[in-house]
Amino acid sequence: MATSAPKTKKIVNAIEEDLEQLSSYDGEVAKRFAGFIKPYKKKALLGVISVITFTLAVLAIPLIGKFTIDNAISESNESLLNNLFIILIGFALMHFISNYIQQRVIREIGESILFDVRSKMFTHLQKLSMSVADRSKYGSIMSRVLGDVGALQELFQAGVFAVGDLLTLIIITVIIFSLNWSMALGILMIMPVFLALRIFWLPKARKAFLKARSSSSIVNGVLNEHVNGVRVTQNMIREDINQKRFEDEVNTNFKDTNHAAKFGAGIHPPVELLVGATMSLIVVMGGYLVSGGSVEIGVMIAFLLYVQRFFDPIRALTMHYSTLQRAMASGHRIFELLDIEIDIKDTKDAKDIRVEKGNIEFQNVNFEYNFNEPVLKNLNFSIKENETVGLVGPTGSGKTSIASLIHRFYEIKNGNIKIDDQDIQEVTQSSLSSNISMVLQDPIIFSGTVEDNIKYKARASREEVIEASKIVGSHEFIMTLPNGYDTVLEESGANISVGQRQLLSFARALLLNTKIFILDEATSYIDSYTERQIQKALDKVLENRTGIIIAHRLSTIKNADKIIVLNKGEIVEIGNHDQLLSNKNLYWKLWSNNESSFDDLN
Amino acid sequence: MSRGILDIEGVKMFVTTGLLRTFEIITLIFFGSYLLLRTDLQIGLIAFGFIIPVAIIATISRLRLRKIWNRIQKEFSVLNTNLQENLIGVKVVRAFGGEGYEIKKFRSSHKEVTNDTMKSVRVDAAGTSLVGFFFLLIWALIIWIGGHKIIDGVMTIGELTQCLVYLGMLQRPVRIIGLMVNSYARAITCGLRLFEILDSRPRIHSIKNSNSIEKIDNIKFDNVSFKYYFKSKANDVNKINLDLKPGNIIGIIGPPGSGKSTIANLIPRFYDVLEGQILVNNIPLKTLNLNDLRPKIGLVSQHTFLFNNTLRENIAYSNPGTDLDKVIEVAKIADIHDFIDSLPEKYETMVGEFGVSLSGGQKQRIAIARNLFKNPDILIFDDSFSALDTGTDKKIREKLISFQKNKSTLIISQRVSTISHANEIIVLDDGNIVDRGKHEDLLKNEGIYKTIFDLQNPKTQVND
Repeated sequence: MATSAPKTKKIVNAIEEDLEQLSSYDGEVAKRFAGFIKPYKKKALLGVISVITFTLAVLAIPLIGKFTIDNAISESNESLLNNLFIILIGFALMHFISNYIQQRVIREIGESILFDVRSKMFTHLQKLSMSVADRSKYGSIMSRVLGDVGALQELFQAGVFAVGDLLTLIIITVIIFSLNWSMALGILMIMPVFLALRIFWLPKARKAFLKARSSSSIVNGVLNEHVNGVRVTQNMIREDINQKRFEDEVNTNFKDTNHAAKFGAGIHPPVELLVGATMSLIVVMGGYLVSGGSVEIGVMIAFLLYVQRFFDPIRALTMHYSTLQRAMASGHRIFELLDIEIDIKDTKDAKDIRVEKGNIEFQNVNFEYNFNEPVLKNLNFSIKENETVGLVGPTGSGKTSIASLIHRFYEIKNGNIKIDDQDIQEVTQSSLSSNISMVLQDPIIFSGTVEDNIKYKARASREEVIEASKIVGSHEFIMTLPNGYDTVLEESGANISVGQRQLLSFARALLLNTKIFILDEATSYIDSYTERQIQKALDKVLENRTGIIIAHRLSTIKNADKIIVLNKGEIVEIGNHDQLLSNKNLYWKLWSNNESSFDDLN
Repeated sequence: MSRGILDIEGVKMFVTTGLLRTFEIITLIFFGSYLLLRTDLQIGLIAFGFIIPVAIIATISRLRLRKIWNRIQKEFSVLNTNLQENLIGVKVVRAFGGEGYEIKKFRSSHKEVTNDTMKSVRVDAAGTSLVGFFFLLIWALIIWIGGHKIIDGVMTIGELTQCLVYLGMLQRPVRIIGLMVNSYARAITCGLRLFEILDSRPRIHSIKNSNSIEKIDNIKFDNVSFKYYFKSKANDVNKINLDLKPGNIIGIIGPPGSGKSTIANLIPRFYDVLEGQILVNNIPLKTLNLNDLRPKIGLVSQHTFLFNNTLRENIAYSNPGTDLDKVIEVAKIADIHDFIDSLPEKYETMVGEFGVSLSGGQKQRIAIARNLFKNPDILIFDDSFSALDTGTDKKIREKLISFQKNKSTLIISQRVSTISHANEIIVLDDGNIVDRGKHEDLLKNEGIYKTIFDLQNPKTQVND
């Protein structure tokens, strides 16, 4: 039992580390990222200008204060005092306006970039073929689209603000040197100590913070799991063990968080000490110089004000640097996704397909998912207008691949697939998908109402939805739901049964009203009642359509006009039920053994 | 769940930033104001004339931001779901040519997030820059008025410097007031909900002086009726009578929604019956100690839940730390050992979110093994063979017979072949027992059972 907890931790850590990976500056990533800023060039310029204006205002105000004290108040010049007051108000207004603009503009651009990059990634994902989708883990895609893009946005903001921070450093250096170079030199000597402190502290603090975060996400994960698995826990009487384990995780998290908090607080005393030391240095040196008469008191006050402002930009710049490192790592992952090649594209002169009859023809089709592992071997068959064809065969015989290929989810290795004499590789993909309806093995439900789910992308009226629903036999159960067609379905349709979900996806396919209708193992997960309902509906639906029914169970396809029996990617026999029985081959063997599915045959 | 975590987070924020800071801030404001007013009453009062509106602005903008941020959070979770569904349902999207529709949907839900974020940016920018402006204004005023006073000889430069320093001291706490009000508001709502959870009591618990039993010999349903929702008109199961004896197998079959699983859930007392009673060894179920009862019942439920853990931990869930031999023994009966043995890390293989993905049938077999591991007196299979092909189903049931010798078994299924060997088969419809008996007898009755049987038999006609 001790082995399990560290294991989970290892995995969560790995995920966190993946997200927190650092990478050094990469010109390629930066250049491509700059492409996303381009549309906002003018606005970004406004942002930079306002950052500079803001910095100037922030730095000028103490200087004016010094001038007021030294030249107006000390000299008892009332009119100068009045004028300087008006100038101060002017700078305060400048401060206000530029501050508002810089914050608003920069963050707005950041948000726009976020939107653009995410939209681009999402659009790219929609263009990738099923072979890419099969290979990718959705968790990793989600973290790229949602998490990594955030890091890029941060980089942009950090970059613009860095302009202000650098400017502040330069100007303050110039000002304090021009005010009194010997005092300035004294202060500058302290800076390396401060920098060293930051550089030493930052990675350690980061590590502590990350550790605290990952242990808190473990706590959340464990809690989440125990809540979801509460039935199992109660059934197995494991409440005590689980409670102890949870407490262990909470304790670890408590320790990690405290450790991180110590780090967070730990930097303050030395920094404050340094700031204090610098200020006392100014007071001592300045006091000595002021009493000696070589320096005015206003200079010393200005020094005190500027030194406090000197530390902040340094702190910010070291922060920006780690933002840059993080953004580079994120950038790599984002562009990696955007660079996945779109493997199935429309040809240049692709036309929309026209399906009037619904004849389907496979000519010498060879297909493999992975190199050199043939799934379909030199397949030849044709399906005629309005025919209903059953495809049967054991798992791995290639029956589902056939359905996917008609829809061009995958590219075949060689041969041709034609619909009404048009090669599917030469027509547009969008026209192909609007001419083929499919009911898939896993009924997918999207969050939304029942009606939304049946309609999906189709523009159909409520009446049409109800009609389709009545044909497939889902109308009855929908009417028993609390709000009928307006009932909101929970995530992945948790509030209705699998059979009901399948009826909805059947209605969804029917609403497309296409000539070709494919059922891809659509009845394998559902109870025999719903299956019978679908069977009955099918007879009606397939009356004027070309139908392909892929099934595991023989009862599902028994009445088809033609049954194609597949094994290991090859056609074993073709014929209707009676013909196949008289063939005394695979189909017959199965039938006479009274087995209901091919997988029972071994 | 997530609500719980957010609530705790809210209270934590309150304790760390809110409560501790309150003390600090009140002290700073109090002393800062006192020193400022003592140094120069006139300047101090003018300063306050401005500081108060600043505090109000800071607070209002914080509270407005909180509202917008809550909204953004909700909109973001919709976006998150959108993306997730798009990735999981990729095949449907491709099959329906829904790419354009999906892009539109994604963009419009992202637009909502973006628009509200922009709004929050504007509110935040306006608030902070306005607060900064007011402080500069006070600063300039102090210098101006103080300057005139110095020239008039009623104030020294030192006093002016003091005033400026005190103003600097007040700046941070005044800005933070908004933050504080926000964390108070959050802590109050979060805290109320937390106490609600902490104060709630489990509805089903063992009674005082409960009975204990050594072993479950038989279970009897005596006219049991039950409904999940008090408001429903009809009972979900109605007047059920059954008698489960040691060594016996009872099968339950019926259409979806007929109440099969309900019967299973009543035995470990996940719910209390509405009418009638359940007797265990002739003792009413309600009077038994739950910690005594539940370990003796193995309920393999319809929905298998695996923990993010190793296969070994998942099977030995009821008693982690037991020898691997026992785990292997039950895995063999559940016909999953060969598969586990073929994995590189065997029983130490991780499953769940971060581990290998398993088929529905494999998950069901692990759930079966997990329950066999408990070595219960009664085994209940709640449609837990549904994802297995008929061959495996049969294999497991045959091995089970020797394992379950002298113990009772309840099998719920939609498949006739899974229960045809039972000592008694109960046919349920709409919560009522409509038929019962042995397989052969039920077939002769020409009732629902026969209909189901015919449906599942490929040789009989389906188009009626």
